[in-house]
Formats: sequence, C-alpha cells, structure tokens
Amino acid sequence: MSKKGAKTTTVHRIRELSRTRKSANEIVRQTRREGIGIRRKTILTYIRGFRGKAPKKDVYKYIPRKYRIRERRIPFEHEVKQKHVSVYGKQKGINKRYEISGTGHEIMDFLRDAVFHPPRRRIARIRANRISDRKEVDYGKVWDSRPKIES
Amino acid sequence: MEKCGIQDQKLKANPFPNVIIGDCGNEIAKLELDRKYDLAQVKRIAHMLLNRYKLGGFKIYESSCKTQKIWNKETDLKEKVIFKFKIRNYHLIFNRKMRSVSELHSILAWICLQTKDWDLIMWFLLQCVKQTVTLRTGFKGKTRPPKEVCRFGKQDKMIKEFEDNRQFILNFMKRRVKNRNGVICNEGF
Repeated sequence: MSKKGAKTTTVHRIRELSRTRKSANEIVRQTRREGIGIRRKTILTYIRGFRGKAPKKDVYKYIPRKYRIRERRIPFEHEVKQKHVSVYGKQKGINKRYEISGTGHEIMDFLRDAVFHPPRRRIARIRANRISDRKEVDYGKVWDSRPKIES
Repeated sequence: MEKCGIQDQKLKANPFPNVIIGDCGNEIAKLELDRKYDLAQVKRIAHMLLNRYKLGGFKIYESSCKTQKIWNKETDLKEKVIFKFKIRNYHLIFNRKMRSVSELHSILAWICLQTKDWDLIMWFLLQCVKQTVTLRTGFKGKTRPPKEVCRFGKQDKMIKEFEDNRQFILNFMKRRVKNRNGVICNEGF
C-alpha cells in the first residue's frame, strides 16, 4: 500500500512541476533534491504526457543496426487503385455509354471489346473483373462511324 | 506528373474514331468551361472555388481550340478575311476528394449560378442525368486529347489520380489493338 501511495505522490509532484515554466532537466534536478527515487527516462515520459508533447519520430535510427530489435514483418497487402473509365458513342443514332470500373489490367482487357462493340443498354455500369458483365457487350453490332457527339 | 505534355504530341491520329474515351466518377471535382472564357477568366473562377470550398489546388486543361474567321467578299483587297479569332475550351480539375455526391453537386450548382453560363448549366444537368461527372481524356473525332495549360497549389491527391487515369487511356490508344476478327485497328501510329 505504501509503495502505491508513494508512486501517486511522485506523479502528483511531477505534474505540479511540469505546470511551471521549468525545463525537463530542472524538474529532474528538483526531484533528486527532494529525494524522490525515479528514473530520468520515466520522468521525461510523464512530462511529455502532461505537457501534451508528441513523442520523437523515428527513434530507431539513433540505435545502431546490430542492437535494433527487428519487428515481425507483416506481409504487405498491395493496394490496387480503382480506375473509372467511360466509353461513349452512338449506335443507330442513339447515345450509348459504358462506365467501367476496375484495375488497370481488367479495364484494358474489357476496353478491347468496348471500343468496337456497343452495349445492349443505354448506360451499362460494369465492373471489369466480373465475367457476367461481359454479357452487356453486344458483339453482333458495331458503333456508328464518326458520329457527332455532344458530351 | 512527368508524363504529361510532350508525350501526348506523339499521338497523331485517332485510333478509335467511332467512340470517345473519358474519365468518370463522383470523387473528383471537375468542370467544363466552353466557348466564352479566356484563360485568365478560367483561372479567376478556379481561384474563387479554391478559396470558397478549400479544394487544395487545381489544374487546367485546354480541351480544344477553334479558329473563327469573319469574311467580307465585297472588299477589293486580296485577303478577304477581315478578322480572325480563337475560341478555346477548358477543363478544370481540383485536388480535394469529394465527401459525397451532394457536395460535388452543390459546388457545380454554385458556379452555374455565379457565371450564369447556359452551356455550363446544360453540361451540369447532363451530368445529373448520367449520375456521374465525365470529362474527355482521349480523342474526339479529329480533335486531340486535352493538354495541360496551368496548375496551382497541391497536386498530390485527386489530380494525381486523374493524371494517372489520363495516362492510362493515352497508353491504351498507343497500343496496337487486335479486333476479335484479328484486324489491327490503330494503324495511324
């Protein structure tokens, strides 16, 4: 019980000192004079917490490589960016358009068909990775040649 | 960012004249300013939007340019063209990601009210019908893909994404594509 009480008093005292304009080194000296037994490292963490200071970045670079503790490497999950591409034109005077979304390779694969053949609907929203969305392409028909489109 | 500009000039002819390829989506704030505007005016509009909605940065593309001539056949001079002038169309893109579709629509509606430009209003209504905002990035008939004219502020978020998408489409056009029948279609390169 006594230990626990001592800890609370030290923390309380450090909080009081950190509210003043004293520097961290001055606070450490003050605690030693008062006979409070606490490590410098822990005092500094307390002071940072009370004053709302962010911890220093990239602390690991100050430690030599042979003493560094290696963290377990997490397998890197590759974030694939989604692209959105629209292809539009006319088929027998009717405006038609694809709105394709997916990764670059998937869209590239789909565009090979979309550039030559119009969709069955007026607006076809397609996910390029879905095989079922290939049914939207009307392979029997082709786009009008050189139409005047107002986008 | 490094790939834009000079590389576009290598595309000499339209490989797919029957269709237009563009960038669509509701995450990027985009605008199309046609016919009436000078580059200085477009910049002014961009700065207005930038300050009001804190959009981070912007980029301006010149989509097409047409030369208009005024003729007078009654004059005795050799040159019967009295006056020449150019009409330029611009695309505007902003850096910040849109939180929702309604935010994007509110921005576009505000600029429509400020400019009172009929073409811009019609374009905005068309986008509302389509439910996505689309801008051309490839060829349109004989007109070339839009080229970069001006940039301001940060370019790291949505502008970078748009630029990647644009480059992707241009690279697709450069490639020789075989039809299902085995015909190579972009012979212009």
